[in-house]
Amino acid sequence: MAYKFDMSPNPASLDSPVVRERILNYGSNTPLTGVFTYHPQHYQRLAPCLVILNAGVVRKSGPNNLNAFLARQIAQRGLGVFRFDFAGVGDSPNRQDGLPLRDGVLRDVTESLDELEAVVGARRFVLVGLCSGADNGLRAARIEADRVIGLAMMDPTVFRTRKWLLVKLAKRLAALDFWKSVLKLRHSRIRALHDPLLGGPASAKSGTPTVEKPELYTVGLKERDEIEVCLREVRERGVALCFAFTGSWAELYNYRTQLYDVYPALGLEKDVELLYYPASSHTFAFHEHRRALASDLLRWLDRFPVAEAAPDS
Amino acid sequence: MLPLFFGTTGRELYGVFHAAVSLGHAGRGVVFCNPLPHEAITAHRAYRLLADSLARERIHCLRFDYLAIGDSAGESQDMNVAAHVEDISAAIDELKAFSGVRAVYLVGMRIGALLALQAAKSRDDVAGVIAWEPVLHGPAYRNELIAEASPSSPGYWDIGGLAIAEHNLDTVGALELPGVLQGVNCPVGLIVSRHHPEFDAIQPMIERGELRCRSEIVDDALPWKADSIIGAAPIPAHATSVIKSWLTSSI
Repeated sequence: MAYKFDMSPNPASLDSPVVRERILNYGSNTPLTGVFTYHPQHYQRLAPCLVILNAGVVRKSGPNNLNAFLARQIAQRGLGVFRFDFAGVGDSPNRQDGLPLRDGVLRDVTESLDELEAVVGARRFVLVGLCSGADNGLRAARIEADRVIGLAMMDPTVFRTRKWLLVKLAKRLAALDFWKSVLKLRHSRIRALHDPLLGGPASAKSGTPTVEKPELYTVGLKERDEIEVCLREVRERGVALCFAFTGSWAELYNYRTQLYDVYPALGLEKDVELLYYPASSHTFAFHEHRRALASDLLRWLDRFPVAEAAPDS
Repeated sequence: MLPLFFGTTGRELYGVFHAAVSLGHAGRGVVFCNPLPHEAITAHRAYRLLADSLARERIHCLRFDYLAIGDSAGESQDMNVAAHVEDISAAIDELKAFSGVRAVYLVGMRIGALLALQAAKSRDDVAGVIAWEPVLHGPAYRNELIAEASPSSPGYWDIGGLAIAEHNLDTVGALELPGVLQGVNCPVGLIVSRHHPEFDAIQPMIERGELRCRSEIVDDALPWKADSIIGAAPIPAHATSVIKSWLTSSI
């Protein structure tokens, strides 16, 4: 069966705006479900296949259909794009293989790549993930570096720098509301003492209830050293990296080149694609932001040439 | 679970069919009607678990995404709440054709409950509707959504991280449960949690018999209301039990 999806015309796309989507059910121990998107006339089997990972516990269509949107936009350029649900997320049942979630996520990626190799003949893959999906993508790229050639991470785990603090402070001082508050004497010394940005103790005693996050949020990467090791390793193994940060991540990331300062020893500025969308929400909720993201990802994907077919393929 | 696409070319809807497990299904099927997308993300798990549970009771189930939402065709900016009733109708047709069930029930949460009732009015083959935590007053709901939203692109509101067009909020604002219930000829079951934001208004209406439907008050946490950080809600065990009970007997 084939399904056509009428898409709004995209000036950057191929002549026909029509892509097709097929559902794949697979998995050796745990049933997994995904959707493969491709262009029936322009699909390049030897081009890298994109695999979009779940963002947290949001199902495969992504927040506000972001994953479905990216899949359809990118498929118009002739690439195959696959989005799937990790076991226990969306429409994939809970794990049945007894693996801990941290390992299970990696198994699910491996089985997805195996399935795509078997069904659509893909041999090289680019992983794409938002938030925890980005962190899981990095872990997966590390173990699948033989066939993963690219990794795009949107709002991954990242760390503040000294310059982040200065930028934050400068923005606060430049904000009219701040000075209005000062004039109204609402910024008392006591308040300042309790403001972590101004050097006071953090608001840990504020009584705000702590929320336990689902496990899928926490199986990714948390430590800077661990992430640095992963990044170093995947780069050395030839995985091209693309980072994208949004304005919603400003409490962690608030200037374009912060990534380079977080990992100065890696020299990421030499070969990493760094995208910054200060006006965008974390989930690229608005059309102009997701269109910009899709356009930038397509430009980055141009770096991957279509592989030559083997004589017997 | 069997994911599938159905509907007409260019307007395919993504659905997941939960087949009744034992030989000889009960001849009943259930179509699940989603709330607005920012609530559907959270309600998804409750729907999935309920559908699994009903399938074990020999009841076929079909969950699906409205057009331009989730994995269905179309872009999110094209979402049109006014057209969701047509999608519900397509899902009913698909479930009947696919599984052979004769009696189709609709389970709808929040605004999905009101849309399910509208769909039931437009057809003569809906055996019953379960309105799960329905929106009571659309205008109040619209105002509540806007109060929590931030405007961004012209004509759109950022609601829970999702861009929802103004005209959809207008559609929502024109719906009210008492009015939508009028003219529904099939049995209707109403499930409301004590934590429902309009509980104080709904409870007296139930007690006075104004809503003219079977009802059950439950203690569940709100199945569509997740913590904004974790994106998940507790499983509504009480409501799930009630729905199973109603559907395995009849509403």
